Amino acid sequence: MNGIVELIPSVYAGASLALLAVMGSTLVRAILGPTAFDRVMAVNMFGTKTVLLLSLLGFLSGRPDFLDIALVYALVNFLSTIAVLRFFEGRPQSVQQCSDPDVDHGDSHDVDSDASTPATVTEE
Amino acid sequence: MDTFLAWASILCIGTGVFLAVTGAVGIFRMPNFFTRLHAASVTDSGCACLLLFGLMLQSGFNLPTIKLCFILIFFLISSPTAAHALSKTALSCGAQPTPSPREER
Repeated sequence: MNGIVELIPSVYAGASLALLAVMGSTLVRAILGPTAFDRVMAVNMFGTKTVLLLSLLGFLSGRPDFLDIALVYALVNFLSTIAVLRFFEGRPQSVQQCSDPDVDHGDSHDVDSDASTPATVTEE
Repeated sequence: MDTFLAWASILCIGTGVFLAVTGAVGIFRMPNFFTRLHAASVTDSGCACLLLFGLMLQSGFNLPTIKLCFILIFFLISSPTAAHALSKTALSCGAQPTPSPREER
């Protein structure tokens, strides 16, 4: 009757190992990724899985104080993703390694004026 | 009651890990950036919710549950926002969501 409760730490350990495998494959995608946005997406997913792994490790080692670190890491991960995307916005050369090279990126963004005014994110 | 909570949390954690593995397969097998983003963002939301809910069931009513609630609410807000910002920036940079994905892997 009590056996399933004692099985819980091994469930945590198995879930942590599976999350580590997922994080490794996400890193491979971040290295291989054909466009810059693939890399940003992979890094974002890596950060999410890091938060989950921190929570699982906190419960596995019996010290849930790791949840503070997980919370801070979630905040920093979201902010870094948005900041990197803000850097890439309006730069059509960042998808030059896109998988079909015959697509013409003909929209007339002025890169310099778009990069110098940081308040134009929500326009258009 | 302990046995029921243990089964419920094992079910939640197992489903969450399955969704995480599905996302990891999806970002390799999907042919296009937007489809890969779909795989990553859907499994991010589902995997995070299920894993944190399973941990909440194991923790009981105390301070770690409140912290897990904070992480869960933040994920529910930030993960779709990040996916939306990614796809919007990719579109504004000229990446086309092409409908013929078979030959460009």
